Order: sequence, then C-alpha cells, then structure tokens
Amino acid sequence: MIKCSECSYENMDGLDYCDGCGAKLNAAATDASASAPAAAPAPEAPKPEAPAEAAAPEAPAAETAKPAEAPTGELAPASAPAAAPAAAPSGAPMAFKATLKVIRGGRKDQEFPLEDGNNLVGRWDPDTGSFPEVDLDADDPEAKISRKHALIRIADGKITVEDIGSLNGTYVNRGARLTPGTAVELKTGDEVIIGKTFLKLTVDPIS
Amino acid sequence: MAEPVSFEALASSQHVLSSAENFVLYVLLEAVARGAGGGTGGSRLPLNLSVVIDRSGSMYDEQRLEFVVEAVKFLAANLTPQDKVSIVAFADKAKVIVTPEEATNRDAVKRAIDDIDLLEIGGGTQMALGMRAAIEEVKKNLDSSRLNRVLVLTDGQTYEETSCIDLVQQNRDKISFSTMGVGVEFNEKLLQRLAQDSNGKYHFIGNPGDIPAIFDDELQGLRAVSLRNVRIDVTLAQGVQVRETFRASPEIYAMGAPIIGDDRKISYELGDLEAGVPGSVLLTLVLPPRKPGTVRMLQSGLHFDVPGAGEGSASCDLTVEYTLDRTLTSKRNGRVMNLVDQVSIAKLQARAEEELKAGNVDRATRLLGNAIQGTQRMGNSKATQALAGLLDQVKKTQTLQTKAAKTTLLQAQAVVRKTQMLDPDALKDFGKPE
Repeated sequence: MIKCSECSYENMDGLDYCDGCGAKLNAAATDASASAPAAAPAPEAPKPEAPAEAAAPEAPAAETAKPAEAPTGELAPASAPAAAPAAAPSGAPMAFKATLKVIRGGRKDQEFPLEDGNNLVGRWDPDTGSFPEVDLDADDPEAKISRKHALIRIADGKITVEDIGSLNGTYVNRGARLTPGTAVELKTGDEVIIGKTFLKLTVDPIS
Repeated sequence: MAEPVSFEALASSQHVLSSAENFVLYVLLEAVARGAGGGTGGSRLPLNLSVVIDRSGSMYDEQRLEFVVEAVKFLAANLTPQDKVSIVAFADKAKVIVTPEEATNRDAVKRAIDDIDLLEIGGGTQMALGMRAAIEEVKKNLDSSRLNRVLVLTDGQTYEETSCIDLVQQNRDKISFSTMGVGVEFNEKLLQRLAQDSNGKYHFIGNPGDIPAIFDDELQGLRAVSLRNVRIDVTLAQGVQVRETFRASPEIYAMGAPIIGDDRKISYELGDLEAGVPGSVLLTLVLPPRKPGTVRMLQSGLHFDVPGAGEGSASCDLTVEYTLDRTLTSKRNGRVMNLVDQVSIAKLQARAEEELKAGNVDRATRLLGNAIQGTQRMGNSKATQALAGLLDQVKKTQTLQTKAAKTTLLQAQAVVRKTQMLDPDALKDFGKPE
C-alpha cells in the first residue's frame, strides 16, 4: 500500500501515479541496465506446503534457485516455486501463555491463544492460501483487515508484531502506523489495532 | 535472412513484493520490425488508397481547401503505376472525383482537384457518405498484398457519427482508416476512435499550412510498412488481472480493460508496423499475493505477416520473483517506467478534460499541475509547454469553449499522445530520486 502524500489516497503497491489525484508516488530507484529480461530461475522441486507467513523478514528470500531455462508448458502453479524457510522456534519452550482478546470492533471478548513462533493475523481465505492462526474473519464487519495482515512472533522470550503489507495498517497503543516489515515488541496489556478491530495482549506466566 | 522482428516482454520490476496484498506490475510488450519496409524484396508495397476530402463551407476558411489541393497534387506526383488511388469529396453529398483508373494520369487529377469547389454537393458535413464511397473504391482493388487505406480529412462536426463508427467496424479487418482534423470544430474523439479502431493514424492539424506535410507523413508511413496484421497474444498466469491496457507506441491511447476468458488469453491487434517504429502495449497487471519464489506471470506470442514471405511469429515469457526485500522491489526498469510516465501523463490530461467537462475546475487544474510536474521530470519541454498553455486557458476560461482554448487542448492532446522515443543513454539518470 502506498499512501499518496498529496491527497492521502491509498494506492496499491507497485503503482507509479496516485489513482486519486495523479501525483507521482514515491520515486523509486530505476535500474536502466535492466532492460534485458533476466534468465528465469527454475522452480524448486515441490516442497511440503510451508505457510508464507513462516518467512520472517530477516530470512533470505528464495536465493537457492539458479538461473536456468524458463519452465515451459503449463503456467507455474501458484504454490510450486515457494521455498519459504520455516521460522524455527528457538530456545526453550515458552514460559508464559500469551492471548489476544478482541476488545472492540468485532466479537467482543473473543480470545486467540498465541503459539510459539509465528502467528499470522488476518482473514481465512483458502483461495489465496491464507490460513491465519488469528483468524479475524468474523471480527471484521467493515472488511478493513487484509487476508495476511500482520505477524505476531513469539521467540526468545519476546513477543513482536509486524505489519506485513496490509492495506489499512497495524497500530500499537494508538501510536503511529507500523512500517510494514519492521517488528515492534509487545508487552502485556498492549493494545493492537488490526484494521478497525481492537485487540489486547495478555501475557500470563505459566505456573 | 535476419529475423524480421524483435519482440520483448519487459516488467517494471524483476521483483514483486511478497505481502498479503495485491501488487501492481507494469508490463511492456514491444515489437520492432527491422528492415527498410516493403517486405522481402526491399521494394515498398503498392497502395490501395482513397482520400476523402471535406468540402463543406468552412473548408474555405484559412485557405484550408487550397492546402488540401496542394497536398493531393503532391500525392498524385508521388504515385507509381502499381498504386491505386481514388479521391472522394463530400459535403451534403459525396462524389468520387478521381477513380483509381484516372489517378495515374496527373493531369486528370489536377483538373479534378482544381475543380473541387465547382462540385454541386451542398455545404454540410456528411462524412459517412464520403467514407462509404471511399470504401467502395478501395474494395475494387482490395488485395491483402496492398496497403488498403482510407484517408479522411475534415474540419467539422459530422452528422451520423455512429454510421462512421459502423463503417470502420465493418471494414477494419481489411481496410485501415487514417483521420485528419483541421481547425477546432471537428469531433476529435470520433476521429481518434475511427483511427484507433482500425489501426490507422489520427492527425490534428492546427495550422492548415501543415496539410501537405501531414499527407507526406501518411505516405512515408505507408511506404515504410514492413510487417502486417501484427497481433500480440497474452496468456496470463492464474490470479493475474489486467487493470488497464494502453497502446504505448507509436501513439499513446487507452485500449481498455479486456474481458479475460477461462483460457486466460487476451489478444491485442497492432495492425501494420513500420520498419524501426516500435509497436507496443503497456499492461497494468494486478498480481495476487504470493509467497517468495519465482513465478511466470505471462506468456506472450507475436504473430505477423511478412509481405511476400508468409506468416511469422515470435514468443516471449515474463518471469518475476516474489521477494520480501523492498530494496529489490523498488528497483525499476528505466525503459518501462519511462513509458509508464508518458502514459500516466496522457491519462492525467484526459482526466483533467473529463473533470473540466463535469465543471470541476479545481480538480482539473490539479490534475494538469501533476501532469506538468511529470513532463518536467522527464525533461519533455514541448509537452510541458503545451500543458502549461492548456492550464493557463483552463484558469482563464474555466471551460474550454473559446477557439484559442480548444486549440491549446487539441495541441496538448497531440503532444502527449505522441510517444517520445528516448535515447537509451538518456534513461540512465531517469527516475532517480531527487
């Protein structure tokens, strides 16, 4: 999502000019030498389905593919070339229990227990391969939540939230909109706004 | 023999952001015909042309008809015995004043065209009648090995616009139509559409003194045709949508968002290609969210006829990589982005016109202001000047009803529509953040 600096219209990623007022959107670096299409990397051998959200931002993108001939015949299926490394939960198991609770804008008091590792926050949509742990489909009356909206990660005794390119943004304690791709640490009692749904994080030590 | 054509599919970026949202990717499909035109033998293709001339009362203004007469004489002097050319005059009625048989006789052409103002055909503007008579003349010599074209020149609003559109629709697979609008009274939307629907050319002639030069331009273009019936077929990957399509060169205009069937195929007809002049379309694709990895976005095929040497084809696939790395996705291809900019400016200009028509002067001014920023960024001083002139007129008149205002509008349209071919070296600094 690119917000136009002139008219605040929210444009799709990759757009060059604002749909609202026609202003040029953020100037992107231009690679003049890129006019020749690069050889297409071959798709990876099919792997067991790894959920996309398992790819932490710091994890390298699929670099393993080597330039080779483009696949011929059938179009590449949506899931085949994905080689997202699963973020392995590190360290000892959680010594606490974390829960997200809807406090406003959805089914009030609906709870979502968070698991060690990555928890995708979004809307259930099998067609696009979105199977969120925190499925807010029923808590999103105004359709402000993206299918893959944010990632809550529990690792090394810390809980972080990161917007993964949602349309309507993620906010912590009503602060500034989170920059997509940048994780922010959460603590107990924090309020997280996903689209227009308000959630509260509770962390209880396991006795 | 060298390949008669080069064909490329280029994306605005090799990398697509892997996120939960859709992503916009611009794709340029471009074919450039090699050679000097005229097919294999190097000799140009014979013409099968009919020239349709408006002889309504207003054609006597600004010496318009005099310049037309001069242009037609020039045309007649540049024909070869293989060319078939006819001339039709219209006002309230239409009349064939030179048949294809007579056209090679320069004296006969000269007599007929000099007597054009003696014709008793009234003083109105029945363009469809003129077009119909011209189509009949072209059909007499219709042959796929000839360049079958109707060339229409007018300076007024015609009656029965839908008849003109229908005539083009019925004949567009065999005959292309080029249109020339003189002055400010004609309907530029109609003339543009007739040319675009049949892959002909539309010319705005602000100064009647330019009429002979525009005739020359048409003739040179026809002489340079080296590939015919060019078509680009595209097969999209699953989930990819086309937001809009623009013809990106040699002229910029909207081709509309196509309806894509279950086979995910779209075809774009480009008509005839002149040697060395790129024929291209720019697609704005909306890509679905995906996880990181390499995906083939589309397969494209180019199909064409080489005069005298049968059919040919070329193909090109486009593969992009989904990544989480925004530094990769912000790297853009300079050539594609240059055309995206040009198309965006043409779009802004057209939107400003719409807003103005709807009475939203503020919005129109703002859109034009953004368009001017774009042309300034690109260093296109001619377009900057044309758009600034238009902006002035908009501020001054609030509508564009005066003659001067309409002239600036038509000029601005003509400038932003014409694709600026940039030297590849000039692209190196293009688009870098200031």
